[in-house]
Amino acid sequence: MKKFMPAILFTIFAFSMIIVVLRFAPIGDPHMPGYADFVPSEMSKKEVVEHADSIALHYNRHSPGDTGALDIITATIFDYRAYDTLIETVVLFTALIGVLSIIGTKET
Amino acid sequence: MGTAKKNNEYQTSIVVRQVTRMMCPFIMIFGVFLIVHGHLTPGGGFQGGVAIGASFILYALAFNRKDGRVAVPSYPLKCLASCGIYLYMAIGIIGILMGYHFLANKVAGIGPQGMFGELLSGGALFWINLGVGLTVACISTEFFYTFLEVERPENYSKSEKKLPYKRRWSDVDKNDPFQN
Repeated sequence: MKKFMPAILFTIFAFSMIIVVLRFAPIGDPHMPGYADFVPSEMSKKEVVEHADSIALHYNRHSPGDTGALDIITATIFDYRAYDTLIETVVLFTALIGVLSIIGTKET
Repeated sequence: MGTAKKNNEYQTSIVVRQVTRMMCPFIMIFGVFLIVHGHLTPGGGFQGGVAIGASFILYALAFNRKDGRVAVPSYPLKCLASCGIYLYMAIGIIGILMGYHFLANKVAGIGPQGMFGELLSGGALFWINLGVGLTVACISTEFFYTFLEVERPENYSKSEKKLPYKRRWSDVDKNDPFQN
């Protein structure tokens, strides 16, 4: 029994992962969950682009007015996700402190 | 004769050194361009900071470590790296002081609010890019020079005094209260 336990567990996990992958929405579909959660499913693609207010479409449409930045990527990572970038910088700084505390030589 | 003797101090060829001497200012200017134009073009604080750090790293690779360390001493680098994070957090706290949430940008009315698409626009994004660029440039440079200054393992087994470590594993084991 102990021999076949990894095989059984592997089969269960593999099947569950394959089922999840098969239930994915097609890429680029505006009705995909996460892309447009509250878009009514009877709307066509053109109507979605014009009327729906999902997160991704909101960023595309309102990022110049919200942030004043021309580059949407900068507007996203430095304004909408500014906490993430702040902690990312702090993580880099913490890595430097760790390196200096282990292999740092004398103060110069 | 004097120049020939001086050239022999370095392990790299004269072509590498002269090209590095010409290219370093342009790499730095490109990094500053990436940082300052972070809200207009692709790029930003991280990329520009790494470009500035790469110019110092290239200098150390083409010449030697001591020549590069004169330009970028350790203590100012560490101070500037923290100053970048302080600038980022100060921008966030200004958002609170103006009556909005932490890191509020456009609604708080911070900084240069020029025409859309100009250099002096973007409000807090301009200063945040500057802070992140300063931090990343200093940290990448300091990482490289710190790893260069570590002595090789085949060297530091000869004499105990040459060890770069302040604390060694033998000391830790000796003073470990959980050992006994």
